Amino acid sequence: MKYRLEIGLILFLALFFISINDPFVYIGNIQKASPDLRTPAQYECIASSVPETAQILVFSRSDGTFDWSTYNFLFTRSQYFLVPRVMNYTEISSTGMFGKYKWFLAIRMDAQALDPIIRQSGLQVVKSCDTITVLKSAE
Amino acid sequence: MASMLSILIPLLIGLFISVAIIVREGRWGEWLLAIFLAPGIGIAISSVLYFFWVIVFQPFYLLPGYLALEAGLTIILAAVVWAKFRRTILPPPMAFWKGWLAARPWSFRTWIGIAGAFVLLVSLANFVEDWTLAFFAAPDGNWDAWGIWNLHARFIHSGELWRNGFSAEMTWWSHPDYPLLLPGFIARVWALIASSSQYVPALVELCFILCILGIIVASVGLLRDWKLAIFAGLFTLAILYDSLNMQQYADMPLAFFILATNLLLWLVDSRKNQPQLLFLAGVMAGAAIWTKNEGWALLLAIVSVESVIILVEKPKFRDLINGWVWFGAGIAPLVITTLVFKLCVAPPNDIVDSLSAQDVLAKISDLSRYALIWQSIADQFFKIGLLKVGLLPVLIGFVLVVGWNKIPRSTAWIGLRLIVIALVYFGIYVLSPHRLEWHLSTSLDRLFDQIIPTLILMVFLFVNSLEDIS
Repeated sequence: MKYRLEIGLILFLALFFISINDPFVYIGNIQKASPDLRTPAQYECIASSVPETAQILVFSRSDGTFDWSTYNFLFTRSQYFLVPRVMNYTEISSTGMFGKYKWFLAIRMDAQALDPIIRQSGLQVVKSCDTITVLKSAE
Repeated sequence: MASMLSILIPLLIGLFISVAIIVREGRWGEWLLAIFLAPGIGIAISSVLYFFWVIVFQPFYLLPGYLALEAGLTIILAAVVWAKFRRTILPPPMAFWKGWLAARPWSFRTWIGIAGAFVLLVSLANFVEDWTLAFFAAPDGNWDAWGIWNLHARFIHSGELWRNGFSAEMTWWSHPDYPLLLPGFIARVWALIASSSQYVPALVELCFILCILGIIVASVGLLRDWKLAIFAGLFTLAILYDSLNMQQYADMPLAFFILATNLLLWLVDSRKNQPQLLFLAGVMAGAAIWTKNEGWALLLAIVSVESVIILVEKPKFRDLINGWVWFGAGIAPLVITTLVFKLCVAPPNDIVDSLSAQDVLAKISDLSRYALIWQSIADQFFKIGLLKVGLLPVLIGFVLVVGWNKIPRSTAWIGLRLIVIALVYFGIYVLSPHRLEWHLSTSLDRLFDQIIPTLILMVFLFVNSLEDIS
């Protein structure tokens, strides 16, 4: 066929254009981004007696569902930190990672909602923050 | 001022080195290639310098002295480049466009190329927009970013107790044994700007992503033709979209260094009598090792393929030694840095540490593991990339439509290196101490992303130029 190459190249271009600039993918990205943008953004945790270095789990609850925000980071006495994302509880537990924490610190954002999940997951609260102050929230 | 210098100095260090080695005839493609290789070189060197500075002085001490050290290195490199290029080698500003416009009347394929350039530019703008959205959705990156890479950067940045982040008490999934190119550089910038800004790791990642695209487009444009370069860019962009699901991970930097190493080794074959390219290839391979443990697979691939080349091409002994000395001079500082980190700072690797002879035998003889790995690879083959029908099948379709005449040996060596890397990855899955389904589901797509940019480069180095086909 005389124009085999030209037709092939045009089809490739169409495929790239539709795939990369797909308006539905674009809308999906915004929808995917929006809930996370609405999650509480920044907290301050002041704890008086925690290990000098600890790995931290931050649990929070959003929209009445048991979604968790987790954040693992360096903890030195008093520090600002971020809760950037929401993770599904089953997604985390399926990796079997919770039992591996040497130190963790559960920060109770909503004690009533959180406690059953902690018991269910077999977590042991080693320390909890003395005070929690929400510094900034996108909501 | 310090903020600007913290970014500018590594870029200049990388630029002076890459310009001194890559630019020979002063063509636009050479300059573009040097520019896109530069950030990776500069980030690797700065990261190494800062790591040793932290080891000796601890963070936050004598930072002006550290800045002076980098500035001094920049001035020395500037002098070297100045000495080499006393006469200007900048290309005439309009040379590219004049040559391009003189080619009129344009063929139908030229118009397809122009349409392709339009699609590439629109898609690139779309990608940057999506990347921005993804960044604001997860400013600290995805799981591995805050669980591993940025966590390590925070420890380095934290002060005197920074080594606690690399102790055996850290959980295995924070991987305290992972090397420090990325965390080291991020911590370095944080220290110099006196702020642990979320923008730093995000922009470093974006820089690597755009440079991968730039290297492929510039090198295919330089070594083949600009129409092929546009299609190479489109394929690359389709795979770079995967990085939106793994923001601020070290996989894209590793992909950058694997790509750059293979490209430079290819250039060594095409440009005779320029052993400095081997030095730069060594730096890139060393940077891969300093980025992720998978970098060792690249080194193994290089050594294996060089052994095959010795058997096939039978080079002179003197040339062989000369080449290895240049390569060794480039890779040695980064390998030594990685070994210092592994031996003096980090705990043992979780996979290596958990292996016993009995366990290894049991896993090697378990055929169900091989079946599961193959099945996952087959799934990824049809899934990887943003394209609606899978990027790899489309790439194969492109090769079949465009065709090829002869695959040069130097291009085949790239393919062989990728095969060795893939075999190493396969072996790691076989021996993995973790639940295999979980290990595959959380990492296989990233391993594909590490090597596919190099695969795209390889393909576009051997397919027919669009003007060659009648």
